Amino acid sequence: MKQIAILSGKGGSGKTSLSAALIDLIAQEYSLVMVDADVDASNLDLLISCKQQTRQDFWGGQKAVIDQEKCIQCGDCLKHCRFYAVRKTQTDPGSSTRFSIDPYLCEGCAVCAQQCPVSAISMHPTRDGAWYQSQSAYGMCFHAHLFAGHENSGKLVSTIISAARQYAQTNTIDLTLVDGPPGIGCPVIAVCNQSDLAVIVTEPTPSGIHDMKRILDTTRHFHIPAYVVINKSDLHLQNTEQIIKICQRDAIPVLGRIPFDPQFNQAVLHAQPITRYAASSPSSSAVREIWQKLKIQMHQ
Amino acid sequence: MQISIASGKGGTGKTMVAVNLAAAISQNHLPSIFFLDCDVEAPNAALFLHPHFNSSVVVNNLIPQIDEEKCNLCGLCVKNCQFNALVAAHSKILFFPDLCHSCGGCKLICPQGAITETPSRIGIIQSGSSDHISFFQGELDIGHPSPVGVIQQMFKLQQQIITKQQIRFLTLVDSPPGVSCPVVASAQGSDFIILVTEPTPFGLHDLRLAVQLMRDELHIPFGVVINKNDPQVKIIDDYCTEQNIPILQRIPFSRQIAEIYAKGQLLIEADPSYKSLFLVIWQNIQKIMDGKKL
Repeated sequence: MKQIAILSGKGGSGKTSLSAALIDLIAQEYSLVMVDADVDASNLDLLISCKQQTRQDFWGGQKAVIDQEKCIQCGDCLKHCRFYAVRKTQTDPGSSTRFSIDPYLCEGCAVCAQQCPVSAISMHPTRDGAWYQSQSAYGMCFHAHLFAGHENSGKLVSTIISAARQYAQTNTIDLTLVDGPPGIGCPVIAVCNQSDLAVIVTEPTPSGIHDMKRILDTTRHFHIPAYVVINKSDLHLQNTEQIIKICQRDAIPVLGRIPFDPQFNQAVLHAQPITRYAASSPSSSAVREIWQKLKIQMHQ
Repeated sequence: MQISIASGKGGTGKTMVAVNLAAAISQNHLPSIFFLDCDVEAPNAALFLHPHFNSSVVVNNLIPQIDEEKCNLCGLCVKNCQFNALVAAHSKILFFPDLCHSCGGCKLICPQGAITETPSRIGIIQSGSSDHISFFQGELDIGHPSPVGVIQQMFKLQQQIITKQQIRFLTLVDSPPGVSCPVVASAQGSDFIILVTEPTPFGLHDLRLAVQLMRDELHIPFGVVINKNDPQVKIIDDYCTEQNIPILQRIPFSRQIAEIYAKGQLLIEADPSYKSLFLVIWQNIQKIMDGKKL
């Protein structure tokens, strides 16, 4: 079983739209499972209409809580917390100080609990999100929802990828396709850790080029073969040429170019992969060509 | 005043709004501006504002260093590390830097005093100026998982300058996408949040999450900018009316705007008629902060 990751560095470059189109094409030839690894803002299920089968809570981390009854206001917790999570408040001058934990800043390191001389601080596990196994017409989809403002997105991504791989193994599935998160930080690293190859979606804008270089550095760092797709490729031909040059220099194959196509946007509005919504559009033929080339790379 | 420009979904136009807003306000000689590019995984604002960088600061995390002579393999550090960054092997304690959160707990708990801390680079902050804008950009190193340390360090650097100068200023923060810890680090402390969205099911879905974060969790006032607006598609307008969320501005869906952006130009410079469009965002925010209705 191979695992393909769709990544970009820059958000909004077309990862999810390309993922949905590839899923549609792959499912015609192979069995596959899908993972939406953008757990902050998961959108893949909007394009491949999933029916939820199971839902599980995600317990990601822990937060400190100070027992005000036991607290002697010594301030040791404030002194040792490196994350500015301990708040010292005084309602009015002369009144006693109160120490409390800001849950958004608490990392769950438990240093305050270990250092508190009167054991007034305890650690409490946090429910940081939920993850789902859902059935779509193309195969099983694993997706998740990290609660707003919560942490441990990398751990949640690892959780759903592991669940997907286990499902794929049990059911002898050919392929896992991961629609990745933007950026290069922990959730992206969690995707890289388990993928066999990465398709990088970029666009011919200064931001697109800049962020493509960063994600290519990241895939190189984790020794994952990368391939580039240029979305909205006719928006600025010189920038597109520049992307091709960078890829040639770094020996990164360019799988194809998708033209700037309002139908791409329309497909999203109609909640369908572009290859279903407008099968004869130029962007659909571009994606079909990309899939043919990707298939050859996959078998190498 | 501090305003963060955020979105749930990536690529909705946060940076485009942030850089044009900064340039439009600074050209009108309104308050002096600090611009913080907090999207440290993919910082792009400098590509449009072309700041002249004159200073850079390396951001470090402290990581443990174990003196094997002093260590008696008691395993207390392993037991207490909440992130499994320390593992006891036969003859030594193994350390996994990618899992370390730099809390300093192992050093504090070691009864032998065998653990010291040493700086380990996670990123860099560059600062300088672009016209009348004081510009800061954070950049997370490749392969390092957490951007939060870089973001927090950037606010600290800005704070040092502000305390020295005591001037009237406006801080604009270009946030990362998403709704998790890096966004919280960029939005916390702001007086107002601009949520940039687009009229697609993706845009609406992720806007709801961003609204949840700002309204229910962080309790910061916010308004919406609809980018790539299509007057035929009302899903964002309808949601904002239903939720009583102010719409600060609508930026039309146009190939011309996409092309200007692709050239790396500021919209307000390529076509000065766009300038008023961005100044209206600033005026609307001031109205809201003064307690007026739009």
